[in-house]
Amino acid sequence: MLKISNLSVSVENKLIINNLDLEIGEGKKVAVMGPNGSGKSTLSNVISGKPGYNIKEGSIKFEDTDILKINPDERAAMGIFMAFQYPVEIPGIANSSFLRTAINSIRKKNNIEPVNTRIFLEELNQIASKLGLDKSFLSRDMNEGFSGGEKKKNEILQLLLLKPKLCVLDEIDSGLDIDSLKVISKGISEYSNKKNSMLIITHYQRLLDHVIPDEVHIFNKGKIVESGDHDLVKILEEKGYKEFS
Amino acid sequence: MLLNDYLNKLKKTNLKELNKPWLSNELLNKELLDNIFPDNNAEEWKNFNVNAFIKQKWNLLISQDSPNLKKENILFKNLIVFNNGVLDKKLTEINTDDKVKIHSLQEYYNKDKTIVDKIYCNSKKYSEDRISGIIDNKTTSLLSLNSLLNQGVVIEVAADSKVGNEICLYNQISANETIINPYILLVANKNSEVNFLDLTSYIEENNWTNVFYEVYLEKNSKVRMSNFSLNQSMNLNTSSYNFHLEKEALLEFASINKGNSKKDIRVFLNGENSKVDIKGMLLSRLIENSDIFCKVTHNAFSSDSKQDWRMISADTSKTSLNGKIKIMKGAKNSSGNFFSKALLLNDKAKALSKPELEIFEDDVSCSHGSSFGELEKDKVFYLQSRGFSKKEAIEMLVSAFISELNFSDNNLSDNLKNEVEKMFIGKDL
Ligand SMILES: Nc1ncnc2c1ncn2[C@@H]1O[C@H](COP(=O)(O)OP(=O)(O)O)[C@@H](O)[C@H]1O
Ligand SMILES: [Mg+2]
Repeated sequence: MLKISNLSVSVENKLIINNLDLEIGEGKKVAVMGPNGSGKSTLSNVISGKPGYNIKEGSIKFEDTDILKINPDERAAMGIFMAFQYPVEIPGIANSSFLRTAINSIRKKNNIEPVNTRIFLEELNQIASKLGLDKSFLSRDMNEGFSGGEKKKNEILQLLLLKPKLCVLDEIDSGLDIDSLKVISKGISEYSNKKNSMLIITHYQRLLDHVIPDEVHIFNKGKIVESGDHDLVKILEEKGYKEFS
Repeated sequence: MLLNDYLNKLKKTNLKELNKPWLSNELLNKELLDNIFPDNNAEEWKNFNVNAFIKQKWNLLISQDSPNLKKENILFKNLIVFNNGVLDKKLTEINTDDKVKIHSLQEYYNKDKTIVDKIYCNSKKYSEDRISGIIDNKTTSLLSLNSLLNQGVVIEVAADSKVGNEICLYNQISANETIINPYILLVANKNSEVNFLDLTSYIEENNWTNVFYEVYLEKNSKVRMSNFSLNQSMNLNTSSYNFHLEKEALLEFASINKGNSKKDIRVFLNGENSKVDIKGMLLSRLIENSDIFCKVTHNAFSSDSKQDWRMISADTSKTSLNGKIKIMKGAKNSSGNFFSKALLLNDKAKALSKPELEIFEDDVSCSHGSSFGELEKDKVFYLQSRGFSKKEAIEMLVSAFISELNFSDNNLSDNLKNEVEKMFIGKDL
């Protein structure tokens, strides 16, 4: 589904992603674990098309299309979704109207008619209650004054609503209490299937106790330094990142 | 007739013969006629491109009848129509069971001199004091021009009455290269309550509307006044709004200022517990200059003022705002607040906001704050990553920005939406 080849990215002349190769097959959950500052968010941002990065070399292919020249909204319409490490607050826009505009923008780009309002609201309420979110959550302004956990749940709510093919989860577990972590993990696991793929980016192992990855890569200084299966998580926990550089 | 010719003629006449007894001697000063146009040296006019009206030869209205107003288009139960600034009695229709009366200024003055004398006694109060002690009459002179050229209309709301439906003051501009001078006194008598919508609709181009309002709020009256214009495009606008509030009076003023427009807003809180709430939007695009000078003077105990402004500048245009709060000795326990937020949609666009406090009393509370900025790139990207095109993302963020003002008049919020949409038409963002 996603194939990153030979990718080097710099910001302000500082090399952040260093000759990276990474492939995520259809139906696969791939974990990338790395310490702070190793370039995890940069990688997520480059996949979803945030401007301001200097792509020095390499390519990113999504379902065989090179996406590096494609706008972020087009990538979203192709089925790429990133859950942000730090979701932004937008006062003045109600969460539910933002969500409806988002889903309709994506549908429009895929030549699908706008969503039926009643069906949309039903589904939205269903997802919200699954994530343990109160109804009032949907009428509040977009992320404004939300707790850290609520913001992260809102990212997963969007994911479940927009139904992307590729989910890039950038530290979805940071700042979550154990109950929220369970709810979010459950949402992710239930969504995961043979047709979609997950790139799970994290610093800690605890999310990966709930969402079991098919592959695990240790990431440091912008490149993969070790690869393995779920057992690698345990090894990393014992040895720490220092052993892998 | 041209404006300049008329002014020259006036210089040769005895101004007393104009038979406008309400005009003060200062206003009837011939020297003012030499100096009728403000310039950028006057503080209130510093940010406005005065060349726009100095350079041009303006026509004066000769015939007042230009009734091509399509009335079915205007859905107001209470409609007071001005054709090029002159009251149109035929099209005016008010259904308020005599709660609202319309007079000429002369008639009103003959009936009751108190308010008129109070308001017009001292023209200098509309001028800013200079540290040098010299009073600048430039703004006053533009007002005097206005009062010299127009007979004046008084709209009076009876005491103890509540006018249920909004009253639309509809000024239709169908002249050409003409200076248009409506001169309107609104009087809200004791314990009355009324909503005005001040709407200027332009049919023709290249006119200069110089609108002058005096609004007098008697004890315990409530006035809401909202203002915007339609199809202003290449017309120039300078407006003065002077509000005088007596004890317990309450004023809500909301305005959309756009295009080449300058508003000069003065609020005098003269009575105890009087209160004003001002909300305004300044919009500019292309090479426009949208400017507001707003000054609230607290003259009384426990008076309260709030100013909340938003500004959006697109292209290479400029919005500018000078907001003053003056608290006089004796106005203890008063509170004056000013807030503004500006958004620049282009790196060549400009916004200026200057709050000023002049406080001559100790026991008061004042606050002011301004912020400026471009749209935050992280927010634009967040929305894009959810499928919004860049343009949709920017439009949504701008609509969030304007929704903060929360106008209570729907006509105003609808117009604001339309005007903001116009800023994006044909733009490749
Ligand atoms: N816009 C930027 N400007 C300058 N440096 C940046 C920028 N974004 C990221 N960096 C730097 O790149 C490195 C990797 O950052 P990031 O991708 O956020 O790491 P992680 O998500 O793994 O913590 C850090 O050293 C960070 O300071
Ligand atoms: Mg990060």
